[in-house]
Amino acid sequence: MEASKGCITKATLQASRHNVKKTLYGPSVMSLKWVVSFLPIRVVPRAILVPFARVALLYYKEESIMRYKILEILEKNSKATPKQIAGMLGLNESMVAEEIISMENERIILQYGAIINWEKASNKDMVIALIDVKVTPQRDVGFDQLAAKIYKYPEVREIFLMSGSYDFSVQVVGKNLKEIADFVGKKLAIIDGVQSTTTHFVLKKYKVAHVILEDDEKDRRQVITP
Amino acid sequence: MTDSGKFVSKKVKSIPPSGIRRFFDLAVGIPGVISLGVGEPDFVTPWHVREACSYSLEQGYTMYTSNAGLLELREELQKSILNEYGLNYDPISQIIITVGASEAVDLAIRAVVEPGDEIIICEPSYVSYKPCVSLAGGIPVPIKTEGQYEFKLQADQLEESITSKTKAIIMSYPNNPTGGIMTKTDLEDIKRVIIKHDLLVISDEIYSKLTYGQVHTSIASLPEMQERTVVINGFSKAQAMTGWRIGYSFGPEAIISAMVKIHQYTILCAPIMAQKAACESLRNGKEEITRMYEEYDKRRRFVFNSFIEMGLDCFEPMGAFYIFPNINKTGLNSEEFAQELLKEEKVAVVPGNAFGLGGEGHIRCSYAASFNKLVEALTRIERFINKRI
Repeated sequence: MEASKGCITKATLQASRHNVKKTLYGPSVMSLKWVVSFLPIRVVPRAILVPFARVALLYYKEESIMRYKILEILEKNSKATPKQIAGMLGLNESMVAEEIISMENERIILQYGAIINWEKASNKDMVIALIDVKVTPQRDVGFDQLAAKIYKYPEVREIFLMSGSYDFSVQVVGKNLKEIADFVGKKLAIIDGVQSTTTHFVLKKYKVAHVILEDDEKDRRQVITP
Repeated sequence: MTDSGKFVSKKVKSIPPSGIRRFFDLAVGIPGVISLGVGEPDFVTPWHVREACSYSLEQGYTMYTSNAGLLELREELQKSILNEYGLNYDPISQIIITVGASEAVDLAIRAVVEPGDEIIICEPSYVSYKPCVSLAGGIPVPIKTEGQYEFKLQADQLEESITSKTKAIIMSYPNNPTGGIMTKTDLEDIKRVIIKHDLLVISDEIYSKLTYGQVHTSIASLPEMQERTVVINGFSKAQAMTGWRIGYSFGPEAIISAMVKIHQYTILCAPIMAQKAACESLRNGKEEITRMYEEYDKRRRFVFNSFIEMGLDCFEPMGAFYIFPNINKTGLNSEEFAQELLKEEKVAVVPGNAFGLGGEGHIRCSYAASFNKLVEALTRIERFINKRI
């Protein structure tokens, strides 16, 4: 589920066919013309080059919209088959399959998983903690390197660089409080550059990745209505 | 013991019970049934709308509103109608808020029908038009629209059905149960006939926000049509607000004020909390409506492709959330098909004959169901069909 996070820009998110056209005949074409007018060799007349570039750009945008739509479906349901996705989007099945493979290769799609209500699934002990970490980035050791030092520990489930009063938000999973305390005390806090940590334990999960865990999804509608 | 039945009017007795109701009794109570028979969204009303309603209750909005409905709601509607159709309606005199679009259908019919008037109804259609016309003393004249014409009303068909007694035509596009729509060009064709014979149009456009691949055109937006069209719409479908029972109608002042007259003596006004919720939906509902719309569109394509792959003749629905495949290849009529499918595979669909002329030979499947349910239902239907064709 978390896999595709951050891989899609907000721009594609909003993009629709309509917007594509608007951008095409708006600023992007202007900038294209600008680029073309500065080309050193004017062998290809602008009258030919500009429409050609326009089509290429249109194709590119269409493709990114298609990708976005495929991702949107997979993010909700990683079991959706290329055939089903093609059906939903009115696309060709093999095209969708190819696109998915190339997105896997480009590491846009990182993993296929499930959203699980662990509390309901087993009595296996599990403690989740969110740790606010303040760091002091040093020469040659920026945020990225510091983050890497943290996320390489298998206990770390998620880590984000945050704006605001602390730097990293780290989600850690352990069997019990002691395990987490050990991780913080013996592994996290002693990393060079880590200034302070504040650990918050998760008491109960209500909603994960847009899914309400205890949602009573009963269909309350009558079986048949006109 | 007196037979109380003798008190019931002959007119009411003569109206057949809804075919859907009969099938409902069969389907209800079967465990594990997947229903594609539901004519309402599977989404719950968006949270912001529910929240606005409970806030209005907290604030004490528990009184009557004016007969025609809250002015703030009518003013919001004026804006949205102007925006969607480019038509201006006076919120004071040309818009009425009703208890669901169903009430608006009844009001419009009662406001115009005199005993003996013929009212043309395009079928297959929603089930209430015919009984409402009969109850008002009119004579329903159904026209059968066909799959080969994408269930669009044809001008020559309309021309043939018109007599000196014809007063109005009731049409509903995007259509329940077929998913058919009428484009601007299609409407232009029938407009000529309507004007030639000086008819009124009652246009039930409850699914107007659910057209796929193109924008809905209201017949009222064609030149010369605004003054002879009563448009009916509501919040049930695109806004997922069926249980709130909020509909509305807009049209020429004379007809709307006649409708308000009936409404004030029968209903008084639509519930205020539902009207408050409808205001919220108009003001801030666009995003949620789009989200649901896009979901329907994906399912629509998926379901359509699946039926085609099964080898059924199926017209691609361009509106609403129904698909209306032709099941003649199975050798069963629509009622047999629906009953056997329910018994064998526990999938509920509605037999097409419940929707009037032209419905026989079809089943109505609603794709207002979650994707996983659709996948399972279609697998079962495919298994059922494979045994027969």
